[in-house]
Amino acid sequence: MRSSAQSDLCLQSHFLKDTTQHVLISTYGNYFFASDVITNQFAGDYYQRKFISTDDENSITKNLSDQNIFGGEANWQVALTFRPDTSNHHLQAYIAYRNRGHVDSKFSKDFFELYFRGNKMFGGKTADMSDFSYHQYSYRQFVFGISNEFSISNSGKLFIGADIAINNGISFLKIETGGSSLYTDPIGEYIDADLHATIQTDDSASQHPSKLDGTGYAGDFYLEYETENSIVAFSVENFGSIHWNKWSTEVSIDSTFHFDGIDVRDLFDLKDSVKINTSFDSTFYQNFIQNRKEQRITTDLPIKVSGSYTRSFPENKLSATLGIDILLKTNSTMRYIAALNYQVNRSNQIGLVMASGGYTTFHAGLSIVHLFPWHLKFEIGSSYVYPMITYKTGKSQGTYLSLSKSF
Amino acid sequence: MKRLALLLSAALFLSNCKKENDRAQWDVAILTPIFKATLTVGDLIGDSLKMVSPDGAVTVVYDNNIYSTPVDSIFEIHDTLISTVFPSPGIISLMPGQVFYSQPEVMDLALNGVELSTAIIKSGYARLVAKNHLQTKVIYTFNIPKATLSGVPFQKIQALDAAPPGGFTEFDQKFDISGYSIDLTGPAGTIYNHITYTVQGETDPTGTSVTLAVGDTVVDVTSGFESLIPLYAKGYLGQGTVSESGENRLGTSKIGGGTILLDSVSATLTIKNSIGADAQALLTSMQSVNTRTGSTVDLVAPNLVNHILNLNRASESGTAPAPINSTYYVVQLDNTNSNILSLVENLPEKLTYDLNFNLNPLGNVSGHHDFIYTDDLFEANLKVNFPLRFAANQILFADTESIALGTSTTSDNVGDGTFTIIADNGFPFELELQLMILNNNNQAVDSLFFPNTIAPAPLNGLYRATGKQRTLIPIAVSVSRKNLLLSASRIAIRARFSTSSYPHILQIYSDYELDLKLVGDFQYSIR
Repeated sequence: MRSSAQSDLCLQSHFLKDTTQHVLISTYGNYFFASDVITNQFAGDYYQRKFISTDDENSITKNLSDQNIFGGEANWQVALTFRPDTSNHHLQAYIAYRNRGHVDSKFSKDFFELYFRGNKMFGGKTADMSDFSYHQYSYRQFVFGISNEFSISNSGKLFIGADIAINNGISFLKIETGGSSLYTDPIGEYIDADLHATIQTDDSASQHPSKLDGTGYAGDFYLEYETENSIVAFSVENFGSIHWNKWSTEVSIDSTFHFDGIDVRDLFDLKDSVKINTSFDSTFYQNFIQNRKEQRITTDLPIKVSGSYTRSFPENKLSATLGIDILLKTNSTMRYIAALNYQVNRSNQIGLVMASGGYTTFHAGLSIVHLFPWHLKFEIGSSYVYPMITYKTGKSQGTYLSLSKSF
Repeated sequence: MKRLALLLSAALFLSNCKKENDRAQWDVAILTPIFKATLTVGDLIGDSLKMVSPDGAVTVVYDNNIYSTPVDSIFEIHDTLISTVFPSPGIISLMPGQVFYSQPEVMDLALNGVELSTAIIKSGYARLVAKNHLQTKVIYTFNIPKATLSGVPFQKIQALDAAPPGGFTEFDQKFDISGYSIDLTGPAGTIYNHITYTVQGETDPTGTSVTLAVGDTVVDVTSGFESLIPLYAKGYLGQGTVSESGENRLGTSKIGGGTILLDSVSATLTIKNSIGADAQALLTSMQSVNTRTGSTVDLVAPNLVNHILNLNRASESGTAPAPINSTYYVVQLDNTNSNILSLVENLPEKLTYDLNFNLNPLGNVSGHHDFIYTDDLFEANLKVNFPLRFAANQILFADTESIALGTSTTSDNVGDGTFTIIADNGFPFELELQLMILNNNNQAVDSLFFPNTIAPAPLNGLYRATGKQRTLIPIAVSVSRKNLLLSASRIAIRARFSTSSYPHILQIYSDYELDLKLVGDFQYSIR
């Protein structure tokens, strides 16, 4: 039993089905970034901390809609699956350590333009920044699970597994705005802002004696029904939350303000010297960030719900899969999946996957599985090969890598 | 298959390895107000100088103390110390508790024509320096029987340890006698300016007898008074003369030139006598001095200049210290009896004057009942009052200021841009602004604000400004110009204004305002 990283189309089974093996040790890592508007080049430049040119911004602007999304993850894990009862090969136990990072955002067209181009283009107009959200979580999980195989008929087997993860929150940042806007006077004489936002973040100073910023629990549930030539799979993964400690911060901004310049009352009181040391940061902070409090905060984790049907063709060399998945508690949408897997020979298997939805539009990828001697299995794949080839215009990227050995 | 896997891996990780900066960078175009300020009539002339009539017309009231008599111009008490050294005339044996020295002193304050009978000390000290050459402990007592504080005479007692063989022990202390009232009429109450006191030496009653040989020092004492400043004095203050040639700066040094025509000016010169003695004041000259133009205007006022002003003596309201009933001599000046208008239109930086006071011109008519509180002597106050109705032509305000804008990460990120001054002028002035950046040699290296004329507010038929006139002054600020401004240590500010319809005289109203706002339109690098 294993958890695939969320939103990656790793279609391998969650269960140890080779009954001749008793122990499976595996490592797994993946990352992905996907958006319905942010291109790989733009995301790459931003991530690589390059200078973002006007051309880069233009490439995004032309595709912006009223609301846009992006999301990304970076995960890795090590896991041990074994059969605890030597007399019962149907029972499996599972122990894993996972490190997970997730980022997810929804933003308006005006928000992007304001953030990357400034407010000058909004002279005489109102920039709509409503319904912005940005969620970023980084956490660890210590996972313990169990599963069992049930024979339903001569040819049908039902695999059911569940695990529970103890979450250790590392950091989070959650920003959400309600109706928010910014009006800039045509000649910049004043700015009117209507801001309604909540900003939550973790205890960056790690004041808790244990240095744990947050704790919580999450659970996974897996179900597969397998016949000679088909598999129906359903899973709910990462259903849980993290309770961040009492030093977590929540800032509420619920303010309408009219800014027409810092009032310099003593402009005409020329003393011996002119000193201008007004801090814009402090000015804005004092004006608008007034409702700051430390408190415990609970954040729900992204939950992946997925289902698929796989049909094997003669000699089981070729199989086709149709499926759907969705990340709940995020801004992603339902994703529709179609995949083909072909067993090239005893050691190699290749896969083709196509999907649309989630955080992005159509994407397609490949996977390769190679079985080395001594049950050493290497797997690499990407659901986003197609958008990565079209790097300048593609809007998603990612890969996963797995290495496992069974005994 | 292996090759495909390698290619795939390489493609996936290629873009995620190298990071050029601490964070992504991009430029944004900012359009924002930065500073705003409002210039009111009160800012122009100072709220304390402004008087507003019900219709809003502004009158300027300049009220300033132009002269105060310094305390030491009437009399001054000099420091005086008396030393006494007595050698032993023969072989003397001093018993325990024996008074071996008790010397009354009558010290003359030498006040040169002033005869004081009483003084209350504002600050000062009685000083006693005693050296003990005796090989026994001695006790010195310093008494000023006619100096009292709350009815208690001044007395200080000080013990000195026994002297070592061949040596001495020493005591040197100043005793604060602030607040003491001192009778200066001597032991019998028949003289003036004299302080009577006694220093007494006594061997320690619990000590041992000492025997002195011929020539051994018995007494070695220095006593007297230092830094005496009276709060109050009574007696005859003499017939002294106080002459003062002074100047009074008016705070107009930033006016660099131009012409102003005023409608009318009135002034009141008030001389206050807080001394309990008759006096005569004589103002021999008063001049309005404009050093920028080299123009000096003498005040012509027959009822004031070179005209003897008899000042009656002040009176006491009770036993000193008590409030004084001062007397006042008031001289009114206006367009009809003086040239005070020309004096003000000269835009003086300072007023100079020559003023004399003669005390007790008729002698000791009070029978030694003159009095003086040294904090309150003669004062001259000038109150100039003129409606703010004027016509100005090219009046220039000029100032040079140190500047410390400093550098910061925020300013580093600001790129090329245009900063616009938005001026909404409610004054009937045309205003030219210029800001020059100076180098270390005070030479202008750049000039901001061009074109630099802020248009005046429109006038109605009654020459009253109606509403405000907007002027935009764009200032292109390149990165190099920004750096020049940030690194400047001094700036020169020039503001030149002319009233509309000059030389027609305009009334200034209290609701006139000039709103200034600085708006930035610039590139900002997010780093």
